[in-house]
Amino acid sequence: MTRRKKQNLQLIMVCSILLAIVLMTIFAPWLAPYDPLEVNMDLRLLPPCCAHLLGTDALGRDVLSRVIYGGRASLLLAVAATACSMGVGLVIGIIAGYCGGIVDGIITAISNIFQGLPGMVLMIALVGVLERNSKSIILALVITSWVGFSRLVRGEVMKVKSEMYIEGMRCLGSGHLRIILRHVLPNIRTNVILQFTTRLGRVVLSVAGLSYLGLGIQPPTPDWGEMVSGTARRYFRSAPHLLWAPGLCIILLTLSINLLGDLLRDRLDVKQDSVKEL
Amino acid sequence: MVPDIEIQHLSVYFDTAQGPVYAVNDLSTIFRAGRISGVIGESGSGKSVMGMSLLRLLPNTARVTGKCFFGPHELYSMPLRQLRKLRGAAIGLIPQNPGTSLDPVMKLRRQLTEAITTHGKRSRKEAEAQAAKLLQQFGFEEPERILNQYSFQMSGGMNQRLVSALGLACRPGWVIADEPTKGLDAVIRNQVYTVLRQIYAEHHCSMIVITHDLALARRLCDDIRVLYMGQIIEQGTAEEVMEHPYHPYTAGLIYSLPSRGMVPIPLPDPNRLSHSGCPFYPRCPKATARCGKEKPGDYLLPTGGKVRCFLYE
Amino acid sequence: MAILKYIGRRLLVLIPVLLGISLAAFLLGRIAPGDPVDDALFRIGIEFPTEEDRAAMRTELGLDKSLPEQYLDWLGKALHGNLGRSYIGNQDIAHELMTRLPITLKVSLVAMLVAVIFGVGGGVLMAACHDTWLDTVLKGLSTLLLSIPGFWLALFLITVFAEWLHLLPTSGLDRGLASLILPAVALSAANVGSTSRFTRGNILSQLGEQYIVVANAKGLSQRAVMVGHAFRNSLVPIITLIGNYFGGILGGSTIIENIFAIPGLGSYVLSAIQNRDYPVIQGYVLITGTTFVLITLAIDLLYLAVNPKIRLQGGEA
Repeated sequence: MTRRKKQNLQLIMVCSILLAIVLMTIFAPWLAPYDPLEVNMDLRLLPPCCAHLLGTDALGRDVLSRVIYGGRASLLLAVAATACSMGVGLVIGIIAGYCGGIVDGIITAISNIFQGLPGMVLMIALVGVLERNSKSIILALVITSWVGFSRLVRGEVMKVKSEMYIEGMRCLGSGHLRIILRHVLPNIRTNVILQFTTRLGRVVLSVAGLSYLGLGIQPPTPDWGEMVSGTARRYFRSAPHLLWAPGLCIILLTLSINLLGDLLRDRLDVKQDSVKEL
Repeated sequence: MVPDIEIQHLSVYFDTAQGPVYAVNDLSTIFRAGRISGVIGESGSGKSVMGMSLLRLLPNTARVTGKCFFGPHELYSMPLRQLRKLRGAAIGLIPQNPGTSLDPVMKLRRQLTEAITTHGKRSRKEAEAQAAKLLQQFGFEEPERILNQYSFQMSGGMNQRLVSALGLACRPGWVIADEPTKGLDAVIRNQVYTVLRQIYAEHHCSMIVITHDLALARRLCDDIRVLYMGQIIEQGTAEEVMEHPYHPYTAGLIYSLPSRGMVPIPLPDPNRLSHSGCPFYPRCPKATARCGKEKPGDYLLPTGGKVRCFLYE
Repeated sequence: MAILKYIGRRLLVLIPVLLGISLAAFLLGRIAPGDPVDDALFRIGIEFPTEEDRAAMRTELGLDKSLPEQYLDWLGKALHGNLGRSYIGNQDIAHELMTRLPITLKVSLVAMLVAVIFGVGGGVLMAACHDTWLDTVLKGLSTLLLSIPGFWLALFLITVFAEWLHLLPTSGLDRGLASLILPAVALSAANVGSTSRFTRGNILSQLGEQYIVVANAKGLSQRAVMVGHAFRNSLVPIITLIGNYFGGILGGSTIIENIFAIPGLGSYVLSAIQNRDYPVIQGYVLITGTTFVLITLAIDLLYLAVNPKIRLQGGEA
């Protein structure tokens, strides 16, 4: 019982950190003390002080304001990309698992090819070739990550499909769509939730990485990844404070997403019987 | 001299969301050295948990209270390091499900020899020679070839003989055989019986045989304990228990055998489900009002056995 | 026999994957924005081309043919080691990539080694100390490692070890192993995190298996049970996982090479991306993709060593 209480407490803590970050990005215009885009060449590379709590960057922009704004674009992009790639994976996985036979054969063969491709390499190349906008990033993330989820869904769907009661539903005259919506989908809900958090953490890092390379969120839009790269990289010897805030924000966001995933897994996964020794 | 195994007020329970679930409930008994003691009961009666608790090999979700004595040693207050010296060397285990009891990626040679060398008395060479000899005793004609193979290359019957050999590798004074005939067909069941008989005859082991196979218990054991919901409700010599069962549950168990009439034990009476008396009260055909209110004690029988039922007060 | 069958099947699976990689590389050049004919003409100095100029250039580039034909042409050339010439500097792309490949491989393999040693080692340690304070601390640490972006960690490491402590070089590769340490650590940190978490979970789930109970019943020491049985059995899934991570390491090396000024494939392709030098990007995908596939193959063959079932019965590919 106490274990469960401890888990609940941890869950509440992690959720409130996540919520705080999300709220911060949503209400950025009200929270930020300055306009994050306002350039002021007289105030370049100021160390943290009263007027600028986190100092200013190479263009004299207020770092605190940029940090507050910095999660907006990438968080939105990461959520959208994760949702898209999972949506694609879900549909393809359900089709493969539910139809079986030759359809499944073809989809599995294609999945094998995609699984064999080095995702990150392809992602960088794709974003590099395409135009620099969010559509390209989402496309690249979907292309390189739909496969894992579709395999998982396929397996689950095949498991559910082989249950007797599904056969019973067919006999009672239920349509395919009805069976998928009413019986197959609810059975994979837990997996969808768990996968979403696990993937979201990874995608946030990928987007930050792309932004760092100058391939993700485009300047002047404030973004944590871009902040680390754009100014901090060049000036981190003279102004190391530029490195801390945006980096720690990315870490805090990813960490809380990952912890949330872990806690949810503990909570939703029933099977947990380890060490056979007292 | 091989010591007796004595259990005092042993309870094993698992914490669940619905509160603790008892697998073994305040169980006390003495297993005498030099005999084959059978423990019978339905699945879920707690007999395997009781057997594994004698080696402290329960899942870590299990909570244990009470004491288990191996001669003068109390197993649960003993440091794990010391207990490991008893495992295998003094008390051997013949586990259930032989198919999953052997390491799938380790050659049988190493699995058998490490059981011997870990107790430090023999070199690797000697251990290998002994393993080969042991396999021969268990009816493997080419032990060298078998030793170089993996368990997944063996048949079900071969694996059963292998795990039996493994349990005996250090010639322990006690052997606990956990459901040795579970899920096996008649031919292999017979083989198992022969193997266990042979162990008893050749190694002079004391044995605890945990089984739901009443025919095996009757043929193999000297005395039998009947477990119901984690309690011993009847005990006596194999012949007494099997031929003249006293407790209504034992009787029900025996008369549900195809050869003894195939009369099933009735399902629990829903009106009797909440009670504070004998655990068998909801299903007992001979229950009285008292059975639902009081817990029966152990009553000595004229034959020397014991039964936990008011009918024999 | 079973071994040959297994290897044969692995090789057979490779073919469609390699074709997929080549197709991806080829298509990258086609989906690029802008008209390739105009771009090519612009590069040779014709800013306002006539229709004839364009038609001639179209034929020269092979763009008048159908898409499958173009792919086969491109693939045929690629197989002969001809990946074309770069737009910038007109260099032989295949040659440029091949001189940089060993550098990237070196960094990636060292990173991989770090991931294996610390990831698997940490995982085993956590499983052995399961449910103690050490387990909790290490588990938290591995989740943290999983959550740090590689580029930030790289800058952080440079600040600490190069700027403050003056222990290790900040860039280049001219100081041997010492200059590899920081890039390899930055590159492998996330993988150390996930490998150790996975190893821990897998060993713990092995500990619930019946054969572990039996191993304990033999009276084996905890170490013999952990290392000899539980760890050996969890090696199979761990090896699969590590193979998959190599793809991430290769991709991540782009960022890390850039930060540490390592002249490998990653920094080459980044400058190509900035200059929209499409043939270089295509070549990069082809070369890195093939390397990845070959490395995963090599790792798959490790299966044979740790899984006797595949060695003796072929198993599933």
